Amino acid sequence: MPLLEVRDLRTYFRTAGQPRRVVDGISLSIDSGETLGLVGESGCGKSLTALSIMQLIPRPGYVAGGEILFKGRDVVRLPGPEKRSFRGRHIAMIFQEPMTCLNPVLSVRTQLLEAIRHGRPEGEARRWGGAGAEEIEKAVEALRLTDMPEPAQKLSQYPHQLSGGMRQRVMIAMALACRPELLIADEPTTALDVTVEARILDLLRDLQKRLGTAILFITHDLAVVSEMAHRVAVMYAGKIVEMATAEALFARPSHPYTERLLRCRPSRVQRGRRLETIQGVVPDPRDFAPGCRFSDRCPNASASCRDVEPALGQIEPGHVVACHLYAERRTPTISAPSPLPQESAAAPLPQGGPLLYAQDVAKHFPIRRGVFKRVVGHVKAVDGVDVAIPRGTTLALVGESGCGKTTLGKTLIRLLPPTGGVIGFGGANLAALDSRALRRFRRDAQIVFQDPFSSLNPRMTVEAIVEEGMLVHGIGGSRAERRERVKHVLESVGLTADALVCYPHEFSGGQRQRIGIARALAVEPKFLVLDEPTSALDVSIQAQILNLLRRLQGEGRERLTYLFITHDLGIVEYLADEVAVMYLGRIVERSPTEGLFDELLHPYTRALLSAIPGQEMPGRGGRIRLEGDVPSPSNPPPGCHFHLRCPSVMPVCREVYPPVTDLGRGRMVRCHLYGSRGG
Amino acid sequence: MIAYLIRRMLYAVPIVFGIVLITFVLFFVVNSPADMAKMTLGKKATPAAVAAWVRAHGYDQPPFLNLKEEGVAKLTSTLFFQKCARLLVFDLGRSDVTDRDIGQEIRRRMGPSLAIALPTFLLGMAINITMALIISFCRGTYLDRWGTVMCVLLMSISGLFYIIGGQFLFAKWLHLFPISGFDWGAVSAKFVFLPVVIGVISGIGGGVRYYRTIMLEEIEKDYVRTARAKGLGEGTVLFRHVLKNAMIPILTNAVMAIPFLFMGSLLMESFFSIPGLGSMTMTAINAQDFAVIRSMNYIGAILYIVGLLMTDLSYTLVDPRITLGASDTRSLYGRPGWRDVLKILGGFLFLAAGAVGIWQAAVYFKDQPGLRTVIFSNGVLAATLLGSGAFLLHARRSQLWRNAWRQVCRSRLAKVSLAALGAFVLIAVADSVTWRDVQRPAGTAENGNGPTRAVLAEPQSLLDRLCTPLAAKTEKTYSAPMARALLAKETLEDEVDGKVVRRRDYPPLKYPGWHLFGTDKTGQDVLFMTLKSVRTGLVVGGLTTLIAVPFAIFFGVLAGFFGGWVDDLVQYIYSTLSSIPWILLVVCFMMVFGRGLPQLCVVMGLTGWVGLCRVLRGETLKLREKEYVQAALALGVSRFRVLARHVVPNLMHLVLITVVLNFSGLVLAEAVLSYIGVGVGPDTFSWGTMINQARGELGRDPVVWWNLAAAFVAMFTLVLPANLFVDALRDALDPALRVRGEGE
Repeated sequence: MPLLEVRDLRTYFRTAGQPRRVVDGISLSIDSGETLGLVGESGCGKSLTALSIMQLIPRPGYVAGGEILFKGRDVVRLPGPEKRSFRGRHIAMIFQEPMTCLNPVLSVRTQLLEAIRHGRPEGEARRWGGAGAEEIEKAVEALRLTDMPEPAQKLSQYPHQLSGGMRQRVMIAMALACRPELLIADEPTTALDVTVEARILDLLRDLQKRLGTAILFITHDLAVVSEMAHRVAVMYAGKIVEMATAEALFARPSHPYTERLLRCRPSRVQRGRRLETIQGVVPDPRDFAPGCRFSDRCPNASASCRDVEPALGQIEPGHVVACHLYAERRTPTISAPSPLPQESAAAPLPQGGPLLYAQDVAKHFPIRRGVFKRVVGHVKAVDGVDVAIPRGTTLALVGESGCGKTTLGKTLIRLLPPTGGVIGFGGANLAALDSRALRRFRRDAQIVFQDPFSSLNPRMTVEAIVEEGMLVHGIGGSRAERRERVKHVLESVGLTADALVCYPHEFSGGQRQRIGIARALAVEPKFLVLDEPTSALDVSIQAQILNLLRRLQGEGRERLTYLFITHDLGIVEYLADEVAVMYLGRIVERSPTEGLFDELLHPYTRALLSAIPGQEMPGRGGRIRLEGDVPSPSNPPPGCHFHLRCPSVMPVCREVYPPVTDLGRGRMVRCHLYGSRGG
Repeated sequence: MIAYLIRRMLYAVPIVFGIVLITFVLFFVVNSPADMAKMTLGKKATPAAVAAWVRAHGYDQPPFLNLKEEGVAKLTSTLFFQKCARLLVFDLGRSDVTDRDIGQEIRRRMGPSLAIALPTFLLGMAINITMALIISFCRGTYLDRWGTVMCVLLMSISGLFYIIGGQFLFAKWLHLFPISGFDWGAVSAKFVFLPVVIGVISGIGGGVRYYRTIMLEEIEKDYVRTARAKGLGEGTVLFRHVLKNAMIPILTNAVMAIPFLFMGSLLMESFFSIPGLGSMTMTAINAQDFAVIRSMNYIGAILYIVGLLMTDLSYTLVDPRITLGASDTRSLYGRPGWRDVLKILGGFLFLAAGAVGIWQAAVYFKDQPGLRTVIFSNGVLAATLLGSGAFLLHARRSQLWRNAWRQVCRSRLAKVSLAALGAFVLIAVADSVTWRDVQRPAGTAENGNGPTRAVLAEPQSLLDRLCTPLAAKTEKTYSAPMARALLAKETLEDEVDGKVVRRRDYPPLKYPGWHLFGTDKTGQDVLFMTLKSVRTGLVVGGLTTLIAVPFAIFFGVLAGFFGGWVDDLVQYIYSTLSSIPWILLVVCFMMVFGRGLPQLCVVMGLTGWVGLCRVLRGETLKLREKEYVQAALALGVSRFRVLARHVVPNLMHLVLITVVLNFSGLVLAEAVLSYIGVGVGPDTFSWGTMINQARGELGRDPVVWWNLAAAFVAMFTLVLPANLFVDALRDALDPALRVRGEGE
């Protein structure tokens, strides 16, 4: 008997009309000690599946049918108190946002002890007051299990004093406190940096081996799943469309959805080509069409796909797919990957000096205290950065969160006034611009933001949003002319003129990001700062946006110049001409993209790359796991900022910040390892 | 900790100084000592008597600099030093009326005041939080829905009603407690019990509703899900996880309530004859005792500042994230340059000119009663219509507002409330359209007297004309609703068989059965008076809002957006204003400027923007971090344009909600102020005046209850729909603003 068996589970949300069928008849099973990966884009019902198993369905959701058998007992039909004691003791869960999922006003000890006490046998007397030494010992033990450094001290701290990775460790410690048989991990690493993510994933794998816990691992990231799961279930619009062992799924993805999902990830292989995309969006769970839910977006859809819903069928032992292709024994055209069209040769790069040029740029935020707002220190978000971006090229800026990427991007277009240094743009010195010249400059340099939800004013129509910049800069004389231009810009980002009168909330995330791009393009800029424009989007939508950005760069009279801020090295490999790696306010390595991935220089870059899940590392050395977190930029360590975490640290690193070492062919690195090589 | 305390004390210094300055300007610059003397001695006092009074009370010194004296005395023997600066060392001086030492008096009366206020406060908090917890525990059930409705009902009842009704019920009818009085020792319990119970009950509605909102907000948070996933029971989740987080806003609210303890006890103490600070203030207000009012102002402000300090300290107990003194708002988008400062100043001058304009108009028309009524009421009408017209135009263009409107219309309760509000507005409009009839047309130069000017009748509104049948039917004195005879017995003379027979009986009414709500002391129809009072209520609610909202938006948005010194300045202004208990502040202004409807509106408007300003500042702080604001700046849109296009429109929903909420608060406050005797004049119809006039008659037998009841019911039927409408509005606006697509 499997540990958990879900049979035909349907969880709906009550609405005024049709219920939203978010989870619509899924069946899966997990054995003890096994990891099942549940993958799918957002809105597919993954999280709700997990919450249904926990019986923590948010209002107005309800289980409309099916059963959830845990060791043969139906969790849905347990009486209330038993349901409660079931949670935590037998099934535990960790959530996505370690920032908000811990109670901010209770100490780690209190929150851990709650979980530990819950696991005590029923007969033992409840004790509320202070914790005994034995209980404290248990709590320390629980933290130690998660490789938490200095667990005893951490007990008396509060969540805000811990970093994201540590909070997630506390969450894991809490979840495992009662040694549950099943652990549900709902996107446990999505909010974390890639180096931290790697450590948490290692930890979960290790704990599973030690404790034999079964894990239901939910994620949108196929790469993570390929590392973690024994078996994988792919979910689409409330249904499971494919389920197989991890090896089989990644070797022979059989459902068109799975297949596309795997191929639209940007990577080095696809460099210079259009990315494969999935057209359209996930259908609304209120009105599903009668046939296959993927049929609207499927390139292989036939008439029967639109009428009849396919059932899961076995195509090889342990590999089930819900697709008519296999039931009807049609030749799956997808198995032979269609040759991807090579992009028309990009316009030759214009010659001449860099469009944007920055020397020793710094942005410090003062920390003030006291009655007179005395400056007691500085957050050195950007601390002496040299950048030069040639016209028509893309510079990718990578680094962990908090390293100052976004601040640098905003400073370079003077959205934030720099504290020091020189920024030149097309020959003009930005610092010297008066307000009128600055406004003219605003036309040339634009920014696209990360969050497609907060970057559009909810009270303005799309037309007003796109038009705003034109009004400021007097582009387009009459109203009618402006409207034509707005339409044109919207078309160029793949939106129709119908969008003009709509409001942002009527669009999906990807469409909103297109509107954000259209707003920037409307003033015909030369330079675009792209601040993680795809990190909030699903992978299929991300591919659409990346294709769009690539196309736009080649269009127009002059090639656009991009500064692409990201933490996703796949995007870098796919898109960028040059890469700059940032650590704690400084650029530690810069290189043309080609050269960077052939020979990794800075230990930080190496660690960053080896942390990316799902990546094979032939010839790139073993995995490097960074210890500790990024230090605070208000108080960086002396010497090389990285020396506290560096695997190849030398004595000199602790004292002197390494100078720039130019290695030729456009490569530069700041590391003492290469000091001797430099010229 | 100590360093923090010292720093906070230093912060308080400019605020305390500001308070002293406000009091000084109000009482000695705007209102000269001679004015004070006239107010005390009466309008007809001789100059000699005035001079003597001024000298006797030590008001005969120059305001800031005494050139007659030598050395330090140049500064010390001045009004500012003697009467105001000495407050700083708690030398409160002597009362203008009784000549008692105020400091001693306050010390003596502190005990009884606290005996009432403290139990009310603590018990109220405990009960409110418990009930809010119970309601949030049962959220989604009938208990929740009806509990919330009950809260709105309780909230909509005037505080005066609770006191009068409670006193009547418990003391007069049931004889459970003494009606009033106070004593120390064990017997004090029987005196304290009733005021405390009434105080607690009157606070339940608002309190429970507020706490419920806070708790529901917390229950939605992620950590609650984590706690449940750990297998904790719902009780533990609520009490340990939710309550502790909810304590942060609850604490703020509690401290904000400290100055209001003052206000509550003002009424409570005077009704129950508790010899505390409240009744002392009441007496001072009635006796025009400026020295006492000044001192109470100061004491109230100090209490408020101490309370604020205590909240900050208690935050650190509840919320480990807060480190003392680390809060500051960065100026995100650079400091405002001198051009910006000019623009800001221009904006402020525009606003101030508006308020001063209304003020001057009020003063000008004060002496021309005929003209005043006509122009003032029509002016108010026009301003209100213009304001709502502008808003409607804005709302029509925006789809969000249209969606909200559609959603409001979906709720039957909201529609009924809207209809009720509409009816009130119609009555008020009818009462505002005023014109004067020509009594005798202008004469021509026929009979050699030359052309005569037309003689105009007293101004009459549309409502007056419509209600003439009611207004004209006056009786001699009280009569019960629908009665056929007067309330009081009189000696009647009948002619029976040619003989005059005298008997004591209830004389028949002139218009028996006409008076639906009875008549008052002067024989006026109560229904008519109630209808006439509608306009006062709406004008107080509406005009005040019209004055206060621009100030709140202006200051709140600027402070939040620019940060830096602009924020410091605005925060200073509003902490100074809000540290004086609002009711006392209004009382001071009203004492200086005299009673009247326009004065009341201006005063409440100029002092009432603080709360909304604080909310808007906080919201702007959040909005300015939004990426669309940065995107607009990156496009080169100027900062003021960004404010106008991106910030203010996204605040309008908050403004609207607060405005409607404040509206009901203002209607209730007007009644209290008029009741105290600093609201509208006794010649203006208002529910407050009605209550004031009727209150003394509760002691009569048979009880005259109908005019009180009419006023309370009318207020209730205005405030309840407003509160219900706010709820519907909030439900409609909030989800629209929570950007869609956040969740699944």
